[in-house]
Amino acid sequence: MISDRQLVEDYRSGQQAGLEHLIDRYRDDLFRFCCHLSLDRQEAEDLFQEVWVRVLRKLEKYDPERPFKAWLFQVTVNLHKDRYRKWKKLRERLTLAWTDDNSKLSEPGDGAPLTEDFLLKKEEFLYLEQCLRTLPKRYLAPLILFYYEEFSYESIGEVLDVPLGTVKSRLNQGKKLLKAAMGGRDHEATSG
Amino acid sequence: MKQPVDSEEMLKEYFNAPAAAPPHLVADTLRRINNRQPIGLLISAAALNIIMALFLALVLLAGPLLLFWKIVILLMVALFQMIAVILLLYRISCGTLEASTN
Repeated sequence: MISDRQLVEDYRSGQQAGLEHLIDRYRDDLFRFCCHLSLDRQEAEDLFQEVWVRVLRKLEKYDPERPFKAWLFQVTVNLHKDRYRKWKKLRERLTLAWTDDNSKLSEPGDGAPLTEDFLLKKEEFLYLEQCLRTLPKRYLAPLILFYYEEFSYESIGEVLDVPLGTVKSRLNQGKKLLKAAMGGRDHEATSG
Repeated sequence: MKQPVDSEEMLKEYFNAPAAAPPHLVADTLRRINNRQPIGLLISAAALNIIMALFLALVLLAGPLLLFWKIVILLMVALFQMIAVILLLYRISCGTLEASTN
């Protein structure tokens, strides 16, 4: 299998196929990450495309010694932050209320069986998404990367460009807030 | 609804659930990359062009020529500028239109 480094070098030397391979290789991983970051499927598609545009713009600065995936995710997090800031400013200007019924898990797969388990799982995930939306944005990315189980604390720090201590504290705080949100909603559900 | 105690398991499952990208995503991304316009470059070129045009106009107006010819030359320069802008806009809008029809 051709390494990421080789594909980057191929693209830098003018071979478009190298880029196509790279995009295709990280298609599902990056899309999943975009979905989790934006919590919206349509938004995730747009973010995915913009990430690659930015990747190409910044490819000259990429250090081939670093793992490409970590760098790609770093670009994604930064771009998402920029977009979120812009969106927030716009929202403040327009003073629109945030209503989102376009959940990324709201559409079941074509062949997805509508069993009781599936529906229960879907309901749980929707509920979890609602809780994730209540989290301050700075806690979301560390949690996502942590639960992917392929990023160490050091790698998360590298992707988010924060020190190790900050990663750990944000993870702890994020988990606490999330559990509180989930507990709070559970409480509401049982009392309501 | 599950208790918060089970949330760790649920979080792992949620974040590791496969999310297949739509099949058109790679093709759309490549199209977007190929259709991007060097906006920064265009803005720089436009700014440089305005500075040069103003400088030339000042030199021309200060030069030893009849006012009539000064106006004629300035109008000619303005005409070329307008043609350049129209061609540029036409090229950009064509690229955008092609992208939107695809």
